[in-house]
Amino acid sequence: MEKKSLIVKIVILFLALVLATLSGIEFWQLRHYKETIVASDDLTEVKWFSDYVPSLKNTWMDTPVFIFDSGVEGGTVFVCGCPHPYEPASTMAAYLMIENLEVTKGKIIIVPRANYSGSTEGMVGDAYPMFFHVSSDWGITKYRIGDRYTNPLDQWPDPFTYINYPSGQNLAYQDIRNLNRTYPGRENGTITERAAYAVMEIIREEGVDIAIDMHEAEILYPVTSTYVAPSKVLDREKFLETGEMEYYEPEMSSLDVAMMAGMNISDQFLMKSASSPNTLHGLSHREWADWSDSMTFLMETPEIFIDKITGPRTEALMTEGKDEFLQKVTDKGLTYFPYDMEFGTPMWYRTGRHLTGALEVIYWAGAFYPELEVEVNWPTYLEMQDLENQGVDSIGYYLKNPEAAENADHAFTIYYKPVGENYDKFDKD
Amino acid sequence: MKKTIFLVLFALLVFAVPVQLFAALSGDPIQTFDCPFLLTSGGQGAGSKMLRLLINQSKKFTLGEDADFWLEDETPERYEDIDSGRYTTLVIVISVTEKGLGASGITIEDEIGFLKEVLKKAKAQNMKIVAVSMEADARAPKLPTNGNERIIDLVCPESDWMIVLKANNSDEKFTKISQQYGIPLTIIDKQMDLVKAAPDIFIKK
Repeated sequence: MEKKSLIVKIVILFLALVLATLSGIEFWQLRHYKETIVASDDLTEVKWFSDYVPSLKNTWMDTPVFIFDSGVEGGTVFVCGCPHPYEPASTMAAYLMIENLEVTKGKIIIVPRANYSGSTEGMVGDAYPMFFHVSSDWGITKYRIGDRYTNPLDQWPDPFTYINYPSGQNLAYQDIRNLNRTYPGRENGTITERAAYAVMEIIREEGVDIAIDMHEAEILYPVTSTYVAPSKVLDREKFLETGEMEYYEPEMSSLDVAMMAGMNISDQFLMKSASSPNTLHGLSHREWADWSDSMTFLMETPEIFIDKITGPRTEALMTEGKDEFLQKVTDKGLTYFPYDMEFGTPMWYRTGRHLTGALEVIYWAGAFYPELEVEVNWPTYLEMQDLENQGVDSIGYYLKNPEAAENADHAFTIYYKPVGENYDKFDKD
Repeated sequence: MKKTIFLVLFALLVFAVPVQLFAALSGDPIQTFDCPFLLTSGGQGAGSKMLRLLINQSKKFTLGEDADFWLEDETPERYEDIDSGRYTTLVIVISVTEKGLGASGITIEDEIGFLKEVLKKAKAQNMKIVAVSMEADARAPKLPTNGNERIIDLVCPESDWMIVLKANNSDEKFTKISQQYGIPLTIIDKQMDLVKAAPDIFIKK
């Protein structure tokens, strides 16, 4: 009897192990899937977060930083892609910038996957596809969707309450793994705080004038389809001396630039402007401006995939953004975006918005403050719209084939550590 | 043949150009108001700052407390500006955002209370009042309890003129207020239309 019972237990254990292995394979595939991009000829340097915070080396929060320096004096722009991996139009826009960028004045710095760890898992408890696909005339490429937060495999456990440093503001416990709640970060903090500190060090050490953070937001969230920029910044010296937070209007106004940019592109797509609250800490549009001398901007596109009241979260919902439930809610006047299910919120539309939204900010910053002028080109919203109207997948159109022989010297695998020989030419070690 | 092409082109020029010129504005004609005017926000959103930028872009007006116009969103500073008697016109840009209220450290109830006092003081100074709704999609969602709807209901019936972005009048709320209170309403297609319109609206003495 005992022997029979033991056999049953072993069989059950074996089946459980088989099931765990089968499901584990999918997690492993997502964790280790590597995306490869082809940088434009204007690439001059590749650095890593670990060049700014050495303790990030060989952690899943290290990530490549692509630098395009025209050699002509002008402004320096920093573009942050993938601060929240489950907002993937941010990453796609960064990839299209890197692949197609032409700069003739000033310097552009792009991080396509700022929270690399968070891109290697899905949201715990939420069922949705691991990947979405983009068609090009040379093939189909898949990209990760990812999570909002740093992967718990890399940073665990969460505290009861997260206290942002140095503001002391209490935030939700899981925000300790949210890159866009941990700014300005800490050199010796958690790996998310260290990544945030690396972003701050890029902005400070590289002398960034214009810093742009690319996000996506639910259409039930008021700040969707919006530029967020500060109208006032922290008096850092006073804070460090006394601990008191006092704000003043800086000479260069990010909010003015954002508002002009939003109004000027209003015949292409809706882009509102909002002032960054002084009292909400940890976010890029607040802390980048408070802890550096850069003008800062956060951009939000409408991403219905992360609205909580949609139908099934399929790949089509991510790439096409068509949902009857959100249409009903919009018809009742309850959303913050003029949603039309007929058109949806397709990936090309959201990616194109980021591309043009960033160009518009760069243009107006230079128009208001000529010393910050930058001359740069990459694909625009209108060019992508034109291609889509001809039935061409506009994202795929602008992506280059990393397998093609002519692109071999410019192909870069995006991973938490260098993969492939192309990184070697920038390796200072 | 050449004559026919010329006549067709001439006809296009005669009939098409005015359509292009006037397509940006509709509803009642533009009203005129004297400078100096005081610009303020109804809801602490970015709208008043956006209008300031557009007026600056027209390159016809000087910003300054003793110049053509002044922007003041904060309280009690805007009370003091109105009480000073320096301004003949008050322009309120209806624009509520949670981020804007958060940035000012106040609630929508605080702002409504401040605006009641602003309107009372402006009336006491015989100032003309212009209500502007020009922030794209500022009225989403269009619930009666939404901050923008509450401020529209407070400010617009007290105004002498309303100038509104076409998209913000999609439910014809401003048209209904115009009809109910007999207040002229001008509609603009795009925010950038105000750059061209500003010199026709605000008259420098």
